[in-house]
Amino acid sequence: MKQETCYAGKLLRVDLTTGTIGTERLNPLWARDFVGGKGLGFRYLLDVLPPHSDPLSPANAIVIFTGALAGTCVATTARTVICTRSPATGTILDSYVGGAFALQLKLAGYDGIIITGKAPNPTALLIRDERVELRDATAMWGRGIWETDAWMKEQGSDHDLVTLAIGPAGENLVPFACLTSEAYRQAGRGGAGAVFGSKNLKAVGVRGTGAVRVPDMPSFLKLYEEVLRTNLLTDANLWANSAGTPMIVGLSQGAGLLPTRGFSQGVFSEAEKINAEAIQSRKQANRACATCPLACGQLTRTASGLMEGPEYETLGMGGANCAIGDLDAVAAFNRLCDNLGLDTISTGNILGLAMLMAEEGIHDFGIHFGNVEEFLEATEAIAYRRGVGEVLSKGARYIAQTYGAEHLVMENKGLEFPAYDPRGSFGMALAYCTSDRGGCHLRAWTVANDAFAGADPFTLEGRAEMTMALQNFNSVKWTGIFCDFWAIDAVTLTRLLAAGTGQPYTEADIYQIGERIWNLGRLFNVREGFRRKDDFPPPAIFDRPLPEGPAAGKNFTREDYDAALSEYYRLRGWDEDGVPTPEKLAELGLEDLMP
Amino acid sequence: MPLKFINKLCTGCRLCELICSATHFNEFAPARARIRVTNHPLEGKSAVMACFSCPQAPCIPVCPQGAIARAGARQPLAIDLQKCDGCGGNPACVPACPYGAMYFDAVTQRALACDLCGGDPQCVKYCYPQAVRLAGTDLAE
Repeated sequence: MKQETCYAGKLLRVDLTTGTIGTERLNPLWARDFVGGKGLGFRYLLDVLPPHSDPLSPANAIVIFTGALAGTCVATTARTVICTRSPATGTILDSYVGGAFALQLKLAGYDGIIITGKAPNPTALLIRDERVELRDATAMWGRGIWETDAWMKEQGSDHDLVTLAIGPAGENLVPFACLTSEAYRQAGRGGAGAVFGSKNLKAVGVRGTGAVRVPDMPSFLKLYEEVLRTNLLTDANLWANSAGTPMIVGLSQGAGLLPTRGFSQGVFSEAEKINAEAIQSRKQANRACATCPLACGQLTRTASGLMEGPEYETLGMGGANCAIGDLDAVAAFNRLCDNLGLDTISTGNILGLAMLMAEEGIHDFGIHFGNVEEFLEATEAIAYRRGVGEVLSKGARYIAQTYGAEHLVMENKGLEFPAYDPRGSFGMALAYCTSDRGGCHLRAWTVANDAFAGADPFTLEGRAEMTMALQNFNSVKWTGIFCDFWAIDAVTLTRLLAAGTGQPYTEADIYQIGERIWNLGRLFNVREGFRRKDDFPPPAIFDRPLPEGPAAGKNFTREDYDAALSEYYRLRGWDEDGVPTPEKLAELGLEDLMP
Repeated sequence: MPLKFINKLCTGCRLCELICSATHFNEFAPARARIRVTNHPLEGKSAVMACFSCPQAPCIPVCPQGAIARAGARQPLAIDLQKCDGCGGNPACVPACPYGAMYFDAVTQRALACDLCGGDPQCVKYCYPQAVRLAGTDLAE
């Protein structure tokens, strides 16, 4: 008898140009070697996407994947990854969203969806078990995401249908347009929303009524009961339940690395108005993604209504970085972004840059630090690309190059930096600039090991190895797809993945799978022309030390960084230009993908 | 002791549905769960429901096969799967339940209701926010 595993064993293929919908068997060897989530998403993307495809052309592909454990009871694994070529960076992109989309997709009988081509008209993909169809979504084009979500439930005649949808920002091809699911959860970074928009794809909705199985249910439940008690519901994770990410406002402020006033400062004088205590004073309840007891969503009462959030990144980039010391204003910004489909991180970074440029007399976009009205108007203008929003929608790199603000900008590969200033934790520079999708903190959150842990944050020593180890581990963690907020260890991860997939993974296998996936992403980026020259932080990191706070006057030189980068490449088994060597690729079983 | 639900504590995670189906059917299949969650994410609201052994039990008299019984008031339902024939796909008991707590299993073509897992309800055990409880065990609400 065939062993039951947590995989559905089937993928959905949708060609929007021809309207063709088909299914295919999940490649079992790829499943063994890349597991799920980021791994399989990257593997299939590399397979279906021709080199040098314009991210916003019909040639680009969208690979939506569940994690291997999606649909099981294991906490946080109902997350979904969207893989595509990013219109913001031109790199590979894996963008994650919580909620219940992956749960429904797996219950509908699919491990993933591969979408190619471009629909002739605004279209929605509606999946109800084996019934898969494209629906005319013209009625929703131009509408907000929340309205679209309700419309999709009506189209599917099912309240439990879960959607991934874009708003006007995605339709208007803003390169940092996001996808929203279940109102407050976003695949935020890198512009997956614009790729949807370029394909006339307004939304994907899914509802499944099938089942997910594991090789041995009684053992699986016994293992999970133990893991829950000893590994999940512990102090290392429960901060997410009690305080959630706003807790980090205090940490970053305390370390002097909270991006403030367009990254010109690291301490925000009004931080107490947007910190965890400010959120807690208005907290109404906890809200969860599917399966998750941590329930990190903080349901907050704000002037514009009850909402989940704002989360740390939004408080940092929309609050401190724009000098908005007003929780209701940040919440209003958050709601606009969620509904119009904008990434709050990139949007807050860009607005902060524009405000700083006005203050420095470089260019006045008509938006200024602390001005709530201008701040909210500009956010909306970006989504619709009207007025000042047209130029701001092109991203921080474009603005800096066009208006002469390259000495101020904070981005790597075109992805705006999030809310950890690397001048307050040097390792974050390496983490951002070696990230597969550009300036992102999630692949290697080294700040947690130094500035937030009482260790010296003003050094690059050992950071190459730390960055590499975290990147590798997160890559395999995101095959699950486990959430960043579960500080799961390698042993537990190995046991859970093995118990679900039936593969006899060892801890050593798990580490190697992570390294394999990371190298796969690098191969994609190398194929698209990314090399050493692209892995450097912007000039301000070297030339403009922070003026006050714990990180005042701290910086490192280009030579320091150059040496750390060389060390990183050497540890990775890449050449001096950042290209994986044939030996490394052979070791990881990627030799057939050698450039 | 019957089940009790505190909706304001329900975070909408659906773990109860997954655990219920895994316990009874050895698969994660919320459509076969005897407990159901309704989510309203935008409004931040959830509601959870399962058979809580209501005093009237209108499901019992409407069953044409006499397949539903219970040992006493506030005792869990016992559905005789030999007698239950699913009413040919239109079970009389499902619409008879005023709480929406009687379900139909499309796989077995039989009625589904909470059996309290024989006295140790797994949904209660796994509900970290304690939105699902055994009546009489909770603190002041």
